[in-house]
Amino acid sequence: MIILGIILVLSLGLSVINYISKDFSILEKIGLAFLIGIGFETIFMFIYDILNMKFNVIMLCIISILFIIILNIRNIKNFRVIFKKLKKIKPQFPKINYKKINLVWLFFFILICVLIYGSAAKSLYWPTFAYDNVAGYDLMGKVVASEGKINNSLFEINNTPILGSARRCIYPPLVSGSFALAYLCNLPTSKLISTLFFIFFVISFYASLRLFTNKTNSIIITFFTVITPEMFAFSSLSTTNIPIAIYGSLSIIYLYIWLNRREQRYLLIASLLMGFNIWTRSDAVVFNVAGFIVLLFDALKNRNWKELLIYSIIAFLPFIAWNLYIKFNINVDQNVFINKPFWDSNKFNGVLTWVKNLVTNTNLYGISFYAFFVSIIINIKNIFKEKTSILLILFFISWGIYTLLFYQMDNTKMDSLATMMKASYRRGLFAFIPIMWFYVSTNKTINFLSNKYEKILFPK
Amino acid sequence: MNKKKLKKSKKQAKRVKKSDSFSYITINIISLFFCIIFVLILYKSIGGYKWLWDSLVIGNLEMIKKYPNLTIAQKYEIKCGFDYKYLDYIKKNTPEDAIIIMPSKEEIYPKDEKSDFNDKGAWGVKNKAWATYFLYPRKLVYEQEKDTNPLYEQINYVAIANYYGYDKLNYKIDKKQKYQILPINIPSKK
Repeated sequence: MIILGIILVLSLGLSVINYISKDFSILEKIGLAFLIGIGFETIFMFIYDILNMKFNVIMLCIISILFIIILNIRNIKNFRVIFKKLKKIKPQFPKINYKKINLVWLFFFILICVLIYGSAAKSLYWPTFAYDNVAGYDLMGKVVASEGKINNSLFEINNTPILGSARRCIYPPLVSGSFALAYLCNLPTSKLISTLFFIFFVISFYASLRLFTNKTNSIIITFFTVITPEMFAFSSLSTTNIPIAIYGSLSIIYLYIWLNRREQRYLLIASLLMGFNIWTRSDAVVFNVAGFIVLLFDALKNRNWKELLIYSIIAFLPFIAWNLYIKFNINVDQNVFINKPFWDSNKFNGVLTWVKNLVTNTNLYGISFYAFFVSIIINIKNIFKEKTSILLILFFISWGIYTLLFYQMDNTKMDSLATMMKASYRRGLFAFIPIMWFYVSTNKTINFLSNKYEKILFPK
Repeated sequence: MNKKKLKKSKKQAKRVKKSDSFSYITINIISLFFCIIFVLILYKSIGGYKWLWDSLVIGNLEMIKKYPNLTIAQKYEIKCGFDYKYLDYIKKNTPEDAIIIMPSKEEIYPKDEKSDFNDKGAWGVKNKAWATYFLYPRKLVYEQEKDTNPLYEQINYVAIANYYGYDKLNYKIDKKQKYQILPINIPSKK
């Protein structure tokens, strides 16, 4: 059953990507198919819920297949032509050209595979046990699957979330919905979903790097992203942090790709990923806002108002939809922030001290932050001349807003500042790691060195 | 004359090819060697990377190899300890439509006594959402919800912990046990 479910998710994601454009690379298509497909499955669950229809695996299959057919209607019309082309293709074993083997690429590829295997083995061996998941996202997934609705028996007394779950049950439904899909497919635990998220992220990230840099550089950068210790540790847990790191970072990267290449397909993918980013956690809005600010400036400069509108609708609609849903269905105070600006030097210094302590902690993020800042310094001469400065702007705006959120947080409604920084902020920083490494890879100096290496290795 | 030249140039091309493939192999091996050294330096000098490899990858794979056939219940027992064991016992001894009154914090952690339950962090039997995860679809009611939860009136099972909770039963029990799950009323004999 789960194999059928995964095939359906991948087909759905692939159909959406192909509908946007057929020009994406195979790696991009494979990587993004799962991330987009699973996002749409949770949107279907939400639609069924607001229509007051209890959903099950068959209903999800029906709507998914229907959606796939609609998206592929152009291809169905050309079915005969495609079939003829397919008939002409003769199966051939790929020929390995030993003179084209890049041992460095192979070495890092094998290391990445071993690491992913280690993460997957751990994830699939242990059932869900982390507190946040047991008392939150996975509990929600279990009950959503069992009752076929999002507004379920966990909102038991006057529609308030069950005692002890804090606000975890009212997080947007991408994570809990994807776990629900695992339970709907009769799996005993939902851990497979976390593993799949991580695997498809690694493929997508490598594919996005390949758009800018060569194979050697891409694989080394992917390796450094994967081995970020804290992020790797969470890749086998069912928290919301890894999905946020995936959707948040990839959406910023794809937005940067669009600003660089001006091909609309990248804008659509970036907007979709932004939408799913906010469909995972509402506080991930920092990426959507950063994207909006940069696109607004771009629109003012280049009169790209249509693009700004497309982005705004796709990227913010899930946020509006979910907040309205919570407002009208769930009895809970969502606001955990101090709504007016204030100045508290102690709190401000406290936040900055925590930020400094965290980013310099190599036990948590390895050399990620150091590599990023060294890369900026190396590039300082060209920093405003290069297009990569857009990526830096996107990065610093989102990081700045994200940090500001913790300053504005009302700690009387939440845990203490120290607890929030030590736990939430620390995990939230995952999302910035892939963006930082992406910047490192596209850096002129590093690119020059890796290109030189590949030219020596494979002279034309 | 031309033939001689052709032969000579062919020989030269072969030599270039040979030297090309030689330099290709050499560069490949040298760079691989440097990469291995670089990765080893990172592993030795950055604590986070060492922890990742030794504990998260190798440690876990060794654990999986050592205990490949543990059931999900056994794994939960390893991770969640007595709290899971207690909830599993309740699950096995109640129907799915049971409405259970759970022990209060005072009953879970009696004064001057060492409790079998977890007392670190927010997880454990004391946390309603956490306990519901293991007992769903059974409904749980806690003493603190007495005035707010309408299900309090419909309780049909009592979870006993540390000999507490027997007073909630509508009948008397002679043999009291430290941990038990009992129907609130005497079950009618059919």
